Amino acid sequence: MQNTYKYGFHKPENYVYKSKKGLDRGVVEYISKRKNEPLWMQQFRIRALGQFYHKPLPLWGGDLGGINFDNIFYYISPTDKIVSRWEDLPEDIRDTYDRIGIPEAEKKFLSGVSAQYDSEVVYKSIKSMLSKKGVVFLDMDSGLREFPEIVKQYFGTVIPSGDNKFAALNSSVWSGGSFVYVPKGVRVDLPLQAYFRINAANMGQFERTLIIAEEGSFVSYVEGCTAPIYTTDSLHSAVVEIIVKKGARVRYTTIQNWSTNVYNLVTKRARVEEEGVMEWVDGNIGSRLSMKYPSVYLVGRKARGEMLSIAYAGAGQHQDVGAKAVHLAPETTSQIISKSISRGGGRTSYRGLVQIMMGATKSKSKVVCDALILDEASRSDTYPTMDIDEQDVSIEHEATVSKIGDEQLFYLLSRGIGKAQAESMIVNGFIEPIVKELPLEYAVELNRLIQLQMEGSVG
Amino acid sequence: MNIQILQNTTKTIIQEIHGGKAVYEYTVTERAQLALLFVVAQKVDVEIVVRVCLTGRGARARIIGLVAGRGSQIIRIHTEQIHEAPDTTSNLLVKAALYDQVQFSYDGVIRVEPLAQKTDAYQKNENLLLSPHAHARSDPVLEILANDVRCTHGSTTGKPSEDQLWYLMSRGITRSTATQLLIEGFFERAIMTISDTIHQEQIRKSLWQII
Repeated sequence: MQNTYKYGFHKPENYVYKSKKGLDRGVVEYISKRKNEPLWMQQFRIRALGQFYHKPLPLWGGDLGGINFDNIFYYISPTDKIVSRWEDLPEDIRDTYDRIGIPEAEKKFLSGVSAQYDSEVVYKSIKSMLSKKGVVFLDMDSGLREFPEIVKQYFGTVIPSGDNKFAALNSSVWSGGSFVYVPKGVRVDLPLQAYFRINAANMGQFERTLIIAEEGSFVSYVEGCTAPIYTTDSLHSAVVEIIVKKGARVRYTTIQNWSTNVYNLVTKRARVEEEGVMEWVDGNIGSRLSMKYPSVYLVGRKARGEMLSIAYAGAGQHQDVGAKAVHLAPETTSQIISKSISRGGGRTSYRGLVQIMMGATKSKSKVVCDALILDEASRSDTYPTMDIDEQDVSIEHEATVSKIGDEQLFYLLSRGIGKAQAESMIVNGFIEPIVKELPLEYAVELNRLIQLQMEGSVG
Repeated sequence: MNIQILQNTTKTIIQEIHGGKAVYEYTVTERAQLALLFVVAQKVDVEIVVRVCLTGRGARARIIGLVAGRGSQIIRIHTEQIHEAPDTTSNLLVKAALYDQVQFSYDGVIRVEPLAQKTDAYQKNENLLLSPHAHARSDPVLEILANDVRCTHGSTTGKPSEDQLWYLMSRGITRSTATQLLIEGFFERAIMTISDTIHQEQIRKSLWQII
């Protein structure tokens, strides 16, 4: 196996506790007990475990045959307590973060860093400004401890534990993730950021994120991940639930760059109430197989969902990603823009759904998918589904699959630009509409990553 | 049923669908051209598969499907445009006007096999919902295994345009007549692409029974 993954280093494992491999009721009870959780959460986990056993693996999408559920650690805790100062972090963890540039991010006055190292959030800093406004930005475990009532009210309401096999798995063994609560009318001007990292062979990450934006509030949450490389397969199965109340706006940005042995099977969904706006910005660069379809359930009049999705599949990769918009109320609107690139035998699939339920009159939806195929060995698919139960609506879908335009390439070559550079310029131009929506440091990183990948494509 | 379009020939086929389940297969060989128009305009349930395989270099196919449904009909249409050879072209358009409680589902695949370089494939589904209880489902799929291709698909679902209705009504035409004209125009654009006027009349006759 040839690995050229840039962040493919890993530190010796040094864990306080490591549960045994595999999953049974004992492991689930142990996790819950160790975290000192209330009874309802323990029961929620156990019920979800039953649903996990019961649900079949999806028959569509990518090849999930490589996952061995008995060969995974479901819980690892790297340190016992959460530290709030960078200097207090254990040295090897700090070292890992140094290599992916977290201190730089700090220097850039990011509003709060909650960094996930394996299963638990070990480092977090929240600017006092946020706390003064009443904004809560905690890891999920602390959130459950400090705000049990809010968590109980919303947890599992957007994505029930039995939603799908992987949501059930996450519900039974979840650990870490973020809890964000924005009070009525509060605008959080700087994006909240969390970094994720897997650092144990066969370690699955099951983080759980819950974001609640009260009436008229605004928050932007950024999640980025990069994982060290291992030769055995890893599983990442997160659940993200977002509640957008009346007139609120939430933007959730992800750049996923797992190493190419990770199965990334994530359920992300937002419930959007009257005049609320949910924006998903989703970038998939890494992983062996991603199956991820950020969704909006538009339940209130004039609610709006926007999804921007970008996928890159290189050798051995399959990005089965897309977006879903379910219109349940009148005058709701949604827009999905997807761009994908496949190269070196990679496969990208756009899989999406637009559903207009009875009663969702005057709804509008527009879906645009563009795919680039860079060589003969690669593949691209488009599987959009539109299900319309109401007459007074306007639904549009368009998709295009093509290679890099000969005319574009010729133009650049005629200006004396090398072929590899010209191709990477064209690809960067292709993804530009989405990249410009990203925070600056992410945009820079994404452009650089695409450039690196493209340079590898010659010779 | 499998109809083969022989090398270097051009064939126009008008296929009226009378209901029930059926599979229609067409093989388009080297430099052959197929113009296929199928019409679904009977008040019975329909479930059909229309498969067009482009097996020879330079093969071309134009596929038009016209659907008009009334009552509590269930109409399922599945189309496949399979490009197996290089330099092949296919162009598909499925138009449906749906009244009453009609349940219409369209799913279509463009599949481009690895050998079929320089493929140009297009697929479009347009649905006109004419009753609040009509249901449309559209599932246009692309599966592309070659790289030097151009494949595009589109799908729209909506009701007759208020602007166009208003324009006609401002010319003294009643709302119901104006709606009728818009629906006829919706199909007429596709019918006009068939050159034979006898065929055109035949298609209009079937569709006009429903709309």
